[in-house]
Amino acid sequence: MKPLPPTQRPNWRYIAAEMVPQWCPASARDMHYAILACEASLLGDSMSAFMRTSVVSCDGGVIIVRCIRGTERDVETALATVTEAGGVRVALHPFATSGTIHGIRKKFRPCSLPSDEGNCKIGENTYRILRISGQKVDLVQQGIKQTTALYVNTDDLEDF
Amino acid sequence: MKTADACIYPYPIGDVSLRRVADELELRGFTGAIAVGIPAGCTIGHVRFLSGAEITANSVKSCRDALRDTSKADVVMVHAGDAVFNRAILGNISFHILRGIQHTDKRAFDHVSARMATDRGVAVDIDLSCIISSSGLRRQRSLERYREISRLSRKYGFMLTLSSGARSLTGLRSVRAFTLLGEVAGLDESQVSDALSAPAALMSPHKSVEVLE
Repeated sequence: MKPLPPTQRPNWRYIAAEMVPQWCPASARDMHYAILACEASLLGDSMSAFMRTSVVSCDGGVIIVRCIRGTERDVETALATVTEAGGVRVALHPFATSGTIHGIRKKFRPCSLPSDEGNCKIGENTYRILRISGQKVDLVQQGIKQTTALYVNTDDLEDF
Repeated sequence: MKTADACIYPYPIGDVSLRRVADELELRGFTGAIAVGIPAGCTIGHVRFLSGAEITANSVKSCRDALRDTSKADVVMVHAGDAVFNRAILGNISFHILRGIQHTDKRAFDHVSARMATDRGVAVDIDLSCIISSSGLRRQRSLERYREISRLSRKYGFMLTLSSGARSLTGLRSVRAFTLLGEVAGLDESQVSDALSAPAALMSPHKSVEVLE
């Protein structure tokens, strides 16, 4: 099939958003469904269909969302209402918008992935230490039913 | 404090330590916040924290009793009730922020309460967690109430505050998200910027001129 000429293709915009926490195991598919559900809930099915939002990539704690040009503001509003993806609590913080994926990748902030650094005990609970870039430390307790997290700094870890 | 989140719950109420909250708030563009459950106000990095106390009461008497225990807090927040209760506390009790207006009925905060809030320098809080985490009928009701409050604020000039009500890292939002969600709640741009700077304004209220003889 002959591809559409550039003038007839839709004008896409790409929005990069930071996932919090970075170690969130949600896949691109989970994110896509979560974002669509939030859009439909906040702005309605009609507006949601008009925006044609989809998740292009989801890795390294950053997702790239594609939408029709002119709807970036609505997409960002919908992204602010995302609280859960794939059964995991997550927040999305948009930080860059561009007309091409190449352009948006230039705006990525370099961030290191969390590294596993053993365990620590607070009270009666034992947490797994996930060290994020800088002073940030996420403590994760894997339970049978749910994952409990405690977000601290290296200074707090010394206090505990 | 040009931009402040009007209510957050750090550790031990929530699951984020105050230092980590400070890091995150700075990253998201905030310069201050009202933290419930911290013993005293402090500054960490470039973020100034005010200690907040929340009061949930059914009567003016119980509210006044609870107020005695919160003497160390910088900011006192009282949860709204019905119209009679709201008028009574606005007229008789000295506090800073009226919270939980979205849980009350339509007539709980009317033009009389609005005028009293303006005279007493009390701000009304718009809790964005109700827009973020709820959906369906509950969110619609909250938005309806917030639009009514923003209309009254434009007319009578009482202060508004915007809060995330975050108990976790995933509950915190950026200044940009506050602006966008504030617009969903019926606030215009100037109202959003005023609401973000309102916690600082509450600390230094404009008092009417007193004539001393």
